[in-house]
Amino acid sequence: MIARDNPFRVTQLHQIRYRLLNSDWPTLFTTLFDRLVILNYRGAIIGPHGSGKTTLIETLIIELTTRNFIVRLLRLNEEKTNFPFSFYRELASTIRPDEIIILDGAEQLDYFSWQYFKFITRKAKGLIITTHNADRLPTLIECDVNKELLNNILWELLGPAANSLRDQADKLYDQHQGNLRNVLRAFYDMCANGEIMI
Amino acid sequence: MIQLSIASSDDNLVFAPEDIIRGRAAWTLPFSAQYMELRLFWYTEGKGDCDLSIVNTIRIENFSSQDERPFEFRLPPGPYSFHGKLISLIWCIEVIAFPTKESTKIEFVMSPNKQVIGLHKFAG
Repeated sequence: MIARDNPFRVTQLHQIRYRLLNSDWPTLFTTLFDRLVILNYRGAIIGPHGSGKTTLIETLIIELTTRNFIVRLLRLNEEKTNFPFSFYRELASTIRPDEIIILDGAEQLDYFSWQYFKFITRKAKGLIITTHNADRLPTLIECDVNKELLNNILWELLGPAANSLRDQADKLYDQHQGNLRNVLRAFYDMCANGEIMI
Repeated sequence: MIQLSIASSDDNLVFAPEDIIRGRAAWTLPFSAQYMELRLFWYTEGKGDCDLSIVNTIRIENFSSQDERPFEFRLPPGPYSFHGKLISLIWCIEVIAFPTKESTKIEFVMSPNKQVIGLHKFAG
């Protein structure tokens, strides 16, 4: 199957909103915003690899912007594990007291870089991070995954054809230890190589 | 409603690099647009992040809510359209109404031999 027809291509995956397991959006945002106020707009979205933290951040940014917050999104990942020193200097000089800084991938920063980042961003109205462990900022929300969530995502991508992938989805979920991003990438490869027909 | 058409002798809308693409954009807008923009661009789709490059734009001003305009773009030397298992590169022309960003696009193929390049045919 060619890339543009692959139902697991990235542009399709990006259209999937963060999915709530045992809640709804109004409840979640009420809880999140109440907690943000209590925490002086400083908190962490916690979860393992591929649990939807980045997807939640994207939805949260839309919600914050709708509520007239000024948001600055910064990203780190396994390929970009820190910012250059010049960036810290620029950040320090341009930070606004009314903006909320969002750092996706805060676990990438070493201890000293994290402390420096936290020091610089103290002037901002808020700091929200995504990370794997609850050791950097107080927890705002924990992202959880299970097989039902994976099946819901497959249904959104494929419709009724998702039913034929249930067994495969179960196996891949276990194989990738609940990392949904990797499970969906594995499905991409299987489609590309003709191992499954959608 | 915005419609876009490309004049082509080939039903598959296949062009060679540096060809001139001619077409027509027509619209009936239920709102007032400040300006329209025609964009010639390519983008990638596949397993990795999407890449996109806008090669040329034409800005249209002073039009009515029901109107049409001819356009032409000269294609650059590359990149060529191709499809593989991991990535596809797709050429498009898009017309967008601002500020609502209502849009429509039309895809075409750009290839030196006027054949769609299929990388997957050569993959193991």
